[in-house]
Amino acid sequence: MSDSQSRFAEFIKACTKVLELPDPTIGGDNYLFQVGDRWVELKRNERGDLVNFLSAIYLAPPDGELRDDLIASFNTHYLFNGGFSLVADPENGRIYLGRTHRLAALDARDIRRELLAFAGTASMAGTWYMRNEDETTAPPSAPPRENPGSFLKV
Amino acid sequence: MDKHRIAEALAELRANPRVEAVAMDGDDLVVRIGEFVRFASDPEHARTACWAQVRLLSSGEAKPAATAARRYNSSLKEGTRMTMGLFLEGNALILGRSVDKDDLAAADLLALADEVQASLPAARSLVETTLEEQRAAERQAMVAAGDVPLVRA
Repeated sequence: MSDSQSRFAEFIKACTKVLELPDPTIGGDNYLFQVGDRWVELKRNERGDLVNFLSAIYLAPPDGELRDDLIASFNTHYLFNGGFSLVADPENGRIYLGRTHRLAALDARDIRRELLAFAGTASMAGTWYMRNEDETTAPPSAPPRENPGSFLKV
Repeated sequence: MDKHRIAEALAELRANPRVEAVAMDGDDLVVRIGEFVRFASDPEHARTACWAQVRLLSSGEAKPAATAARRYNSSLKEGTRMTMGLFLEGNALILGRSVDKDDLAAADLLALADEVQASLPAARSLVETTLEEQRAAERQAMVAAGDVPLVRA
């Protein structure tokens, strides 16, 4: 097992211990936790220093198209407010909520709170998307600052 | 980042020969390492966002730009790359990442800025490809409607 694999596996093992779950079998680069009726996937990057939390928030109807403008605006807003992003999988008509953490910044003792908070945000993001997908106007999430487009002039 | 941390980081970044310029712009810390890369504090979540501009958008480019951002962000499920988003007021696409620490050392800030800068060429290429697809579709639609462009490409 490589270093990146073992660091991730150790973290997941510590999480399952905190959550009083059976010892996990971790063969790949991800692990799924069930939080209520929602699955939250923890997926490490190749280097093993980052972990992405992912959860499906929306499944489009068979002939439905994903709203790119909603996704792009959500991602700008939440880049500055918690680091959440919407990840589209247009082939399967799914949208996931994602949040990247540095593995070193995660503490397995906080995993219950982290999972519950993430699942709660995923639920809200899904509701927000469905409420706005039929709107033809720009999305409601305002940019984070008064004039975010004021780029440094030289 | 609190003011003390920012003052420290500014001094350390200024002393780094790789950093061409460093400044505060409002609450943002801005470094120039070829590209301008900006840091914005997210104190409520104890995170720091690092970002750069991918491209300014002209009129009519917001829709294909959003498509480009969605395409780029699809890769987030497989890796942990950057997020691309749309500044509607600034008419620009941006690329960045939020990290869960708000007191990053100067070396960490620079490493993060390097990652953002390194991600820009591929992101810009994807955006240009998507915008060109849009222009081609518009040309086809014009021809289909019986309109002939005045200038042929």
